[in-house]
Amino acid sequence: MNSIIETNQVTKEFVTKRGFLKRTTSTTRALDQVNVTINENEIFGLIGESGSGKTTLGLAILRLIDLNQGKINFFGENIYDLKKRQLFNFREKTQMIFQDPYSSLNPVVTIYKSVSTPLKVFHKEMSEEQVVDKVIQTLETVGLTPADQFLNKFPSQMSGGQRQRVGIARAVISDPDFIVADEPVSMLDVSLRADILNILINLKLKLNKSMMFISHDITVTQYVSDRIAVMHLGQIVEMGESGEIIKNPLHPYTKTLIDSIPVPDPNKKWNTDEIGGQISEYTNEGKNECSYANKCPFVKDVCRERRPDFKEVEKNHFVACVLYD
Amino acid sequence: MMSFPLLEVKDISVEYGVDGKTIKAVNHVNLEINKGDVVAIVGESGSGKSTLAMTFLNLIEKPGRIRNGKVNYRGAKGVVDVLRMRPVDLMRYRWKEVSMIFQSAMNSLNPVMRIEGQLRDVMIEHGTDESLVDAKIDEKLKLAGLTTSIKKSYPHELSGGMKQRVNIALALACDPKLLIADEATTALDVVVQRQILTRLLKLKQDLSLSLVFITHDISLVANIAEIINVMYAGKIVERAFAKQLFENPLHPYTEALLQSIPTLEKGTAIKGIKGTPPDLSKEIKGCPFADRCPKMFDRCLAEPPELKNVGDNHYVSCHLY
Repeated sequence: MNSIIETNQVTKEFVTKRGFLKRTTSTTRALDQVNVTINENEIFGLIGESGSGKTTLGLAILRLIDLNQGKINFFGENIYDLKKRQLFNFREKTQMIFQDPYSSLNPVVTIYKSVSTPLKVFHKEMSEEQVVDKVIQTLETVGLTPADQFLNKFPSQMSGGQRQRVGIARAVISDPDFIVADEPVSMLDVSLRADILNILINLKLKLNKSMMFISHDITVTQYVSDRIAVMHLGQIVEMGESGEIIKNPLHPYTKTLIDSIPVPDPNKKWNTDEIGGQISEYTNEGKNECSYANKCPFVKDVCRERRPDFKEVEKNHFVACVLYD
Repeated sequence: MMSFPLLEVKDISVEYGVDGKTIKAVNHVNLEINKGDVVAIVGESGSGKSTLAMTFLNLIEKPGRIRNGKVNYRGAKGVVDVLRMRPVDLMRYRWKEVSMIFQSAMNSLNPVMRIEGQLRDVMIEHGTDESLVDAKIDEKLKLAGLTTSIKKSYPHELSGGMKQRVNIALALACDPKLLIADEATTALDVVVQRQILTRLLKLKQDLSLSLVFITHDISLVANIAEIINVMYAGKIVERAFAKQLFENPLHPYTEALLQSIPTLEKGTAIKGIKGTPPDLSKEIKGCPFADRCPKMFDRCLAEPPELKNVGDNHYVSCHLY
């Protein structure tokens, strides 16, 4: 299998200034030496709590932010070295699907205009009829049928599920190789999620797209993904085949995540033991310790002395935890 | 001895008048909540679940209006209709008898007031003795699973989960008998969500509270609610004990809803529900789910089904039964 995206020691820090005259600064590591590889024709799931850096990684892979350290290869070429013309081609080949279908579409522009814009930018040679045909065809792939009835609608005339389909159509119309889908269903009703997820799976199966699927919801992620990486405070703590991660989670954080999922089965007793104690705010300040040490029920002295290595414990199953040293 | 419901909603209808149209958000709903019950109201956005909950506290404001119905509350002085209370009684009823954790709880705290002040305001406004307030603030924060040191913080200094717990502390401030949680954990991630729900269930046991959970996520309430009400287009379409509902869903909408949730078992394909919910500003002649229903037949388009008991307190509103 060929890799489409490869990140190498990617680190991104955000500096916040505060206090009198903004003299005090504090640094938060949103991404901390992240190494992931996404293969061609694969949906790569990225899960983690809010503030864990999942969206930042998505933005970094599309070169929408600058890095402090590390490099990201797209088909073997570092995207942060691309020059103007090459960057323009890269933009055509990568796209993003956003979380909020209510704010990611321009409210005063018709669906046709929103969806056709990528073609007008990247394929100036196409005639107006060709563009219309392509838009109709793309709207049909995402299940907006009959497509011609949607062309002149405005976002306000459509439901949330329909808007998210428009968002997907806009992302795939330029025929990208790689798509970042950032929480694409978290704003949608449960009954509408299923169809959107099935569309994403079909993009992979029928159009051979590769995708990074970012979500805080493991059940949704495992439904679409081939592999899953778990992120905690800017670090990847576990990575493996999605079925394997669910059945055999190794990292204590992954275990907590999976235990917390509500199971739609009234016979399963809700475990009323409180987990993790107090909720508290931790950020990654780049200390040389395990990022989960402050919350981990199995914490040992060694966890605070050094970072655990990210090791392959079983075939294709990686974990960063001293319990598996 | 017959048990009387703590809160009894009778034939309530709520409308919103927007742009000259009348939207029937809640349509002739009946509901009972007994002491110590954990009741869930599940539905898609726009199904009227939040509007229904607002009527429990007589919180419907313009452009909404309550068309008809009663909300009977059994308090110390007997049964009273919340919708016809004098303002002064309503003040004693809200927070003290029934309180609510709101949907956008993340934003429902006053950003320029310390947590302590917000709790104090509620307590004093609703008649707590001044000399007891300080001790009560600490007590309520602990109940919600927070350290008392956070009372000096401002809301922006707290994480989402902590703010949500402050909201629980606020809702408990005046020792209510019934607590309504309206999408209380929707904006939080799973770990925090579970901590909050666990806390609420523990409070229910310790304080013999009654709880109402309002959510769009049916899998969330599967193992915490005793009775589940499924709402669709302003009506309750099915009501059953959680176990019955999951093992034997009767209404085609409930069935479809259950099929649309992804589970952790690999290989079970999930299906969405075709179509969109009906426009509630238009008159619906038959069953509101008819045009999305795979089992639809002629009668469904002609007359609306009634919510009927089909055995073992399993209620369903569908012509199939």
